[in-house]
Amino acid sequence: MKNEEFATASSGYKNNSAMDIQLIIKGNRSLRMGMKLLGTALFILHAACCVSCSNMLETDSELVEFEQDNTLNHPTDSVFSVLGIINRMQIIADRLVLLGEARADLVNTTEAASADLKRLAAFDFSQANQYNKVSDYYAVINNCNYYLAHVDTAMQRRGRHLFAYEYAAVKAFRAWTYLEVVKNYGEVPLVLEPLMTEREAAAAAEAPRKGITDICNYFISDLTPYALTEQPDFGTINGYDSKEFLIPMRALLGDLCLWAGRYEEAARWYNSYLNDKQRPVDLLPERRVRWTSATDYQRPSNGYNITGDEMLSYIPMEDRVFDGVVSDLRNVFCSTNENNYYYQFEPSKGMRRISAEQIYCMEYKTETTIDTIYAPRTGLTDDLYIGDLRLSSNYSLNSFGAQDAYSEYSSLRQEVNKIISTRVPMYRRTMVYLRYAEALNRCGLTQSAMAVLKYGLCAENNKRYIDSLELDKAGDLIAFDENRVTKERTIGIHSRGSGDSECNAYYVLPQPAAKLATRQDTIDYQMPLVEDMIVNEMALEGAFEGYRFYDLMRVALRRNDPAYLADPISRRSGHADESLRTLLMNKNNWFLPLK
Amino acid sequence: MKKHIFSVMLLLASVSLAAQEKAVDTTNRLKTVTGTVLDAATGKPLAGVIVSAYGNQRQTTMTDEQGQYELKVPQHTRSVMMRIDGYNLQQNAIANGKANGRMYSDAFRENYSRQTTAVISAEANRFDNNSEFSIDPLVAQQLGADMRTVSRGGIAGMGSTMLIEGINSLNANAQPLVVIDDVLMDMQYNREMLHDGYFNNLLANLNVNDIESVQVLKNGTALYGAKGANGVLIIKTKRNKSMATKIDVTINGRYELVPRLPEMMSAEDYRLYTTDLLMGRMNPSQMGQMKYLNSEPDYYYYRQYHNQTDWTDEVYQNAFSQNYGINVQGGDDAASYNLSVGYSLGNSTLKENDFSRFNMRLNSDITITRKLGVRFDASYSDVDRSLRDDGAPAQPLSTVITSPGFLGLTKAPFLSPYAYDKHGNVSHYLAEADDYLEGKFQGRGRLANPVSILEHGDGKNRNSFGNRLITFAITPTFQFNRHLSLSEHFTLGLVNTNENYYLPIQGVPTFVVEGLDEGTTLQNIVRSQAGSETAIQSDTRVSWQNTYHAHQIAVKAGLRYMSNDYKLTSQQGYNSGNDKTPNMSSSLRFKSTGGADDKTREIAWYALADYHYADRYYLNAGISAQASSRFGDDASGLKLFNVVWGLFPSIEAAWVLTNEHWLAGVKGIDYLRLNVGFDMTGNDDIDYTASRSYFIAKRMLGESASGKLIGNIGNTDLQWETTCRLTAGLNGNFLNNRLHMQLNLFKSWTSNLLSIRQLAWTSGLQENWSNDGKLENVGFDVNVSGKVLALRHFSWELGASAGHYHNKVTALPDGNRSIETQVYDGTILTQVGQPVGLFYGYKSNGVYATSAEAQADGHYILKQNGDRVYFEAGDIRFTDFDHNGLIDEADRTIIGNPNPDIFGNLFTTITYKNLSLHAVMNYSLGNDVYNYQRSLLEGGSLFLNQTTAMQNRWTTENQQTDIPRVSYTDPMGNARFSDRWIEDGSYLRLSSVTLSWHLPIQSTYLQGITIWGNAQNLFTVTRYLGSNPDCALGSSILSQGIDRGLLSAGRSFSLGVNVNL
Repeated sequence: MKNEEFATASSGYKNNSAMDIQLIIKGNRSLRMGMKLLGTALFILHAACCVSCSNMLETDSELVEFEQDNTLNHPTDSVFSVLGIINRMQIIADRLVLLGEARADLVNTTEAASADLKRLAAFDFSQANQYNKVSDYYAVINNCNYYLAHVDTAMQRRGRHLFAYEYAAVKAFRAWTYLEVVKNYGEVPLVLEPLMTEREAAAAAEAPRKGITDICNYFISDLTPYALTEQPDFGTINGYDSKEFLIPMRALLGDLCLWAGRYEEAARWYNSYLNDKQRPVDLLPERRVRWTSATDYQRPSNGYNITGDEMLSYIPMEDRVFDGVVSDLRNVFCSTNENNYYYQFEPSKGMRRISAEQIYCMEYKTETTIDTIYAPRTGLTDDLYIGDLRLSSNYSLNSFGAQDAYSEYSSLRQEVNKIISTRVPMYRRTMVYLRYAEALNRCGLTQSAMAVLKYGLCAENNKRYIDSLELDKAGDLIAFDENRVTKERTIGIHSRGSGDSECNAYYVLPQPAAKLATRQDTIDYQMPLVEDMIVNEMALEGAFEGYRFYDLMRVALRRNDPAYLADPISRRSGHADESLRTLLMNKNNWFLPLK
Repeated sequence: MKKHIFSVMLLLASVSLAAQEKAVDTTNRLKTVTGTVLDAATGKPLAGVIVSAYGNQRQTTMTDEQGQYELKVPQHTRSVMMRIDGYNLQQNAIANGKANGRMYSDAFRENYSRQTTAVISAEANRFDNNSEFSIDPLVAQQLGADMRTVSRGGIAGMGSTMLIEGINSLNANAQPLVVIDDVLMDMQYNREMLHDGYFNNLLANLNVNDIESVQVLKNGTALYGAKGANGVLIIKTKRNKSMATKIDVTINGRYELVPRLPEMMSAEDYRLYTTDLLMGRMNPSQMGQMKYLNSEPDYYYYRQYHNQTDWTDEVYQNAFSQNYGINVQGGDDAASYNLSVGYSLGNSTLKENDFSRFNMRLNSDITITRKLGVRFDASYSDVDRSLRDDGAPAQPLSTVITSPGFLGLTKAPFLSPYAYDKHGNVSHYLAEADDYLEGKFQGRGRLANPVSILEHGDGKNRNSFGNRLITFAITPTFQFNRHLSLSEHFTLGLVNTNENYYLPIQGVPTFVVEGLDEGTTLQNIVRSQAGSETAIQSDTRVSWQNTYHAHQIAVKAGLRYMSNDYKLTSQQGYNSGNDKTPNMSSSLRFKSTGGADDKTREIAWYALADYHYADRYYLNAGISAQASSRFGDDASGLKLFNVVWGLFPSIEAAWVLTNEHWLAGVKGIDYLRLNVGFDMTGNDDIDYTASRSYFIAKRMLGESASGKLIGNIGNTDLQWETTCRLTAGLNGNFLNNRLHMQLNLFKSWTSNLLSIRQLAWTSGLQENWSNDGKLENVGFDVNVSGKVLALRHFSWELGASAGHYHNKVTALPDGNRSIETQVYDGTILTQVGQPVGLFYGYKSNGVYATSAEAQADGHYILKQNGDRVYFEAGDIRFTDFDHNGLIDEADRTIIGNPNPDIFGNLFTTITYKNLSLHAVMNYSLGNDVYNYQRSLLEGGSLFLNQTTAMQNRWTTENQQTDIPRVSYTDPMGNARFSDRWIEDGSYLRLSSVTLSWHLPIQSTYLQGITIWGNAQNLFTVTRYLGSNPDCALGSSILSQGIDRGLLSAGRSFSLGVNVNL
């Protein structure tokens, strides 16, 4: 039946061409109608799309915060952002120490040291090195830049600009990081705007690079308006006083000026910081390691410990890998379960020599007399007891016979107890004083600089040990509040390990063999020698904390004398490594390559 | 400006249709076609065959008793179509007014279709008579060469990875887009599961019995825009086809045998092996004090350490599975429906990996008015599983081994699963974790009791997985007239998954986890996660079609909007305290949470046109413009309406040569068609947020604070990968339709590969996604089948297929720098000029038999601290390519290629009356497999039981062997990634044999019964040493051909009955 229908239809198709045409017309009409409808539909959709295409495609997320949502206009935003910057600083924390020590002369790498550390020590930067990741510094910088560009500084509450303190703190983080990165890489691009797209980042990497002096000069101007801004207070976090995570602005300004060769300003900033009205930085005389008896040299009494409030500012580290970035420093310096007691750094011959060269002096008081006694240099229970005691106070090496030949553990155990895993120091009291001394010395105030080492600066000591000409010249560069920084609350830094330096006849301001023509000639004679003493003192005081390489570099650059750095480093293992010395005589080889 | 271009273009696409209109051919007349139709089996005339002009139902007739017909067709008609129940469809060219046909039984595969298009595709169908839980293996069997498939493992319904036309992506998804009933699915390929080795295959939510067909689309994919680059898999579920009510009941059961497993050493051999490991690692004087080495039968601990346990018996089992289903079809003029309900229960051969599924589907077609129809579909399926970790662990020493299957192989056979009491008798309490090395030996190596993981991990709140897939689709269609219709296809899809993971305390050693806290030993692990995905798709479409004389045109244009929200929350913690409290709680240690919040919005405009002329020339053209929230704002594409649009055109043409006068009726050639096509498609599997800058929160300073920091800086140029593909195909039937042949060729160029690029260091971040890199694919697939015997009661069909692809990376980021990817201790090399997925490692050249040999070579390695350690007698002689004595990364070379040279299937069907036997073999030749599991089972470096091959290990000077000495933690790297672990993965497998018997019963209640039996994986011919060379690690292209010993499919035997009511 159906087939018949089809047959009819097909015959109709054949016979009735009129119908055929009609069909086509109908088809046309339907086409036109279709077009019209389609057109309308398209028009509506088109219109709808014009308005909302980009809206329709917008998505959000609960896991991340897209840039446009990060407004930084709420106090918690601001705190989280500052902590975020500290989080990025944790990543570079170990490098502060390792880059500063591995390349310097106070440690040797042991056999167990990682190839990366060995290459650092050999200044071999030909291969990828885990400690050469410049992007980690720029991670801090970019987060700072974003904050500085976007935080709502105009916002006020109770008459105070809400984020003014944080703003200054972040500026300090940024400047500090730039100083770190330029010290290690020599020349870097100065990026001051946040890079929020790949294109911007790629362009910035190609930007012209600035050297240490330029970087320092820029940030001196950048920070100066905020030098006296208070630090924000986030209270106690995980048992830490969060203020100590922040950078002391004036100490940083001092450093920047010191590196830039602006010594008077440096001295002024350091003084301003150390002699602060509210929180002066003093030095407690009992923080020292010394022989308590002029007859018994069995074991020194140890009050020397830098892991407490000696740290003015530090990068807080995590306790557990689970929580984030932990410090690996103890595995490098000390025997731990993790490294099967195989430590990777040990104090070098160079370090031992500097320590042993010091002459330990003791003021020996009896009921009636005061004598000056010098500690013996032989017959001591430990070679480390010769000379300065700070190395012995910090460092110990014990051997455990219990390990058999099949053990995975080393039978030697080394401990460097100034290395703690939870805090990596950025500023320490004595180190700020020593850099202050360095600045004073370069201002021609050699007696004042010497006083930092030998007596400790305070109003009383200044009057007693510095002549009036220098006092006049120094003016308030060495001013200390009489009531706060007193003789009882300061100490010559050398005394922290070498006994009572104020009486030490071998530890004095160098004097020319014959009187020189002018006072200035004498000062010019003394200045480099005092500087050497300061740099040595920095080694004794700050060994293993990562300062040494930069201290040598700063003076070498200042004196335009690469040998100042090349000589001690090429002799760190006790003998002269000529090829290393040759390498280091070219200062381009001091810096990590910036890819 | 660009705005206007796009508008104009859209309109042009529609307006140009009007231009097709042409003057009526007034000379148009009908012509007469006559012919005879015979039954090919008997040679006798066949009456009642419906004969019609091909592609035109208006001219139709029927054969008479003599099998003859006469049909009037338009002049331009070049072929007729013949069909009758019980036979295959046939298309016959008209030659000199005649078109004869020889019809073959429908026991043979269909070689013709009702409609011809210019698009190349392949179809699998007829999925009855099997007991599979998911469609994957059946598609793999049928589409042997059309799609490369690799099994993900033997756990029920894990499915296969699929690749169509080579490999078109490196880092983004390379598997085809799956479209189920016009819904573009997110298959969740890269979603993390809590259970190691498990993959959530969403196809397992579909009951095989509900599936009508699975089609592989190889070109003509414009409709799918930026999702079509990897080909498209179109799955259609069953809809009602007749007015009569039909009820089908299916019941079947399957028995699966434990798969082939490596042969492991006996208790005494293993004991000896452990002493070899301890040698040189501990003081020999202390070795004698170790309890398990005391061989005095009177010794108190003797029995505890002198068992002969085959641990595989404890973790593997022969498994039984069952499926029940009912399908009801029916309807009337107003509405028709297909309703199915099914329940499946499956066990795996690895204990405690069970599967159950309930599924329900309603597909209905409703006619509301003459012009308005609605299609309404709804489905629900609920999969529940018990799971355990599976496969060899990535870092056996860094954590606890939790996979019962792997423990079953490696656990010391001299231990017992049950504890000994103080009298020295076996108790019914499960033994604790290994302690035979405790005390004296400082290394790690305790193994859990796998039976304890199975038993104490059992329970819904411990180790379970649930997955629900719910879909609703409503599709109103308004038919304005015969030519024009408007439809809206709106779908809502929900996928909910939840998973619990629990590693018990009892029977599991304490362990440490890197990244938590070195000093803390942990007892157990608790994890849970819940994911949900909501997918909304709206597709508004205008369709128009018409015929002008010999010209047929069909046009579709529309707008598709898709919104996909995937949300996942997961938690984990350690040390639940005891095995009675397996839930997440605040008292857990090292608690952490994770998750995902991935959202995508997409808009696509499309226009598709189908044109054909006189059964000879076919043209299919389409274009779509797609915008997506995943594209960067500055991506290179059409910028319009403030967003970037990717344009994806395709054009396909076909020419049916046999419908030309000069070829029609030529003897021996029944049908010949030539296809060519060009497609430009995209792959939009882009990281959800890589194009945008965002901040992340980092917990810090204990758990007391969190910092906000820049997590990503956006690559605003980020865009889809673009694949341009040329295709050509030849499709023919010869020798009275007895021989069918199909050949397809393709060549494709993929550019803008999504790849990880190093970011400029000024950003402070390491890397991000970018579009950089290119690759090419070239290949073919060929299908041949023949009707060997076509007799009245007996028919025999034989067929084979072969597929081949060759791909080549042609450009890479960072100046074509080669990329090395670490996967399970192996290195995968991506290098310009080479195919993707290459194994890059060391070449070995035997074992140094003597110290003299070793010294002569003088090969050494450098320790981490830079010291040299020389290879000794018993070590592997690695090839020192750079002749510097140092065996290091510079001595690596390409040691294997996981891509096959050729793959495909062989099949045969023999039918005798109502009895039918169908067999399929699958094969793959020339592909290499990295046997990671074997590298642990024959690595000789850990306290894991080893295969019997390790009996030949080097032990004494001058011993000639190819197995090196053993040494704890392998300081010389003898077991490093080398050609020792690369094996030829070629295989030929008898995948499936089905014997079915259909009882035609004509009664009021019963229409028929089919009883069938099926055997799967009866045998595999291979040189591969692992369980199964057909094994995939995951979805990633860079982890192809890696065998980590996931459960593989064993032999299985099924029996079932289908009842038609």
